[in-house]
Amino acid sequence: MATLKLYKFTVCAIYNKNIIYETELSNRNTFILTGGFFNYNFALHRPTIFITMTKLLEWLLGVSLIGVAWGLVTFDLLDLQLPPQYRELAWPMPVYLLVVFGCYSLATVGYRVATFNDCEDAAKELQAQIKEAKEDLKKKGLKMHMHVLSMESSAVSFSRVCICIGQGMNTSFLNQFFLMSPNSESDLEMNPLCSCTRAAFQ
Amino acid sequence: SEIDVEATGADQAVGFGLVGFSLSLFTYYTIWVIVLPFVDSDHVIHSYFLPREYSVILPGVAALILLLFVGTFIGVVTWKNRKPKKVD
Repeated sequence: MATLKLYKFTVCAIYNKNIIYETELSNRNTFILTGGFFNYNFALHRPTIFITMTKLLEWLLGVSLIGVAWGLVTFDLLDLQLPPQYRELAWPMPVYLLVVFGCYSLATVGYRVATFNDCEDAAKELQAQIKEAKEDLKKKGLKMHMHVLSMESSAVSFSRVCICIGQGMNTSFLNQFFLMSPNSESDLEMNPLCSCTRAAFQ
Repeated sequence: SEIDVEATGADQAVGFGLVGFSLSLFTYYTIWVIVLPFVDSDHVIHSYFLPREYSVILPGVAALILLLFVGTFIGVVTWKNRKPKKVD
C-alpha cells in the first residue's frame, strides 16, 4: 500500500500586494482552494497558494458577510435573545436599503436636471453657422444633408456637438468634439447609426 | 464665449419636484421602518402608518410594476423599429 506523502503549504491572502493573512495547511486538511494561484515560495521553501483579492472578491465577501449577519439576526439562528424591537428593525433591512438607494438615485437625477446649464445663445449661433455652411457648400455644387444630432454643455463651458454630413451613400464626419451616440431624431433616417469621433473633415 | 444660463423653468420644476418627492418618500419610509419599532404601540403616530408587513410588500409590488413597465416599453419600441430584411 503506497503511503501518501504529506505536503505542507502556506496560504497567503494578499490585499494591495501586501500579505495580510498567512496560514499553514497540509494536504490532510485541505481540499478546495478556488481563485488561487499555485506557486512555489522559494523563501519559505514550500508550495504556496496565493489568493489575489480582486475588487469583485472584495465586494462578494462584504456582501456575503452582511447577508450572513442579517440572516442570523432575522431567523434567530444563534438564539441571541435580542430585544424584539431590534428584530423588528432587522428583517426589512434589505428592502429598506434598496428603497433608500432608489431615493438617492432619484434625488441625484432630479437635482442634476434642475441645475443643468443650457446654452441657448450658443445653440442659436451654431444653427446659424450650419445654415451658412450649408449654403456655401450648395453653391459649390454638393448636395448635402446636415443635421445637428445633439447639443450639450456642462458647467465648464464647453459644448459637445455632433454634426453628421451625408452625401448620398457616403457619410463623412465633421466633428470637433466627441459624442457617444446620437439623439433619436426621426429625421435622421439617412444614417441612424451615426457615431461621431474626433476626426477632421475629409 | 458662452454665457451659462440657468436651466429653463420646466427643467427646474421637474428636477426639484423629483428631489422633493424622493426626500418625502425617504422620510416616510425611514420613520416607518426604523423609528416605529421603538415607539409605544398605543402612540397616535401608528395610525398614520400601515402594518409593518406592507413596508416590504409595497416596495416589492412597486418594483414588479416598474419591471413590467420597462419591459413593455422595450417591447413596444423594439416592435415599432422592426424593419423587413433587405433583399439584394
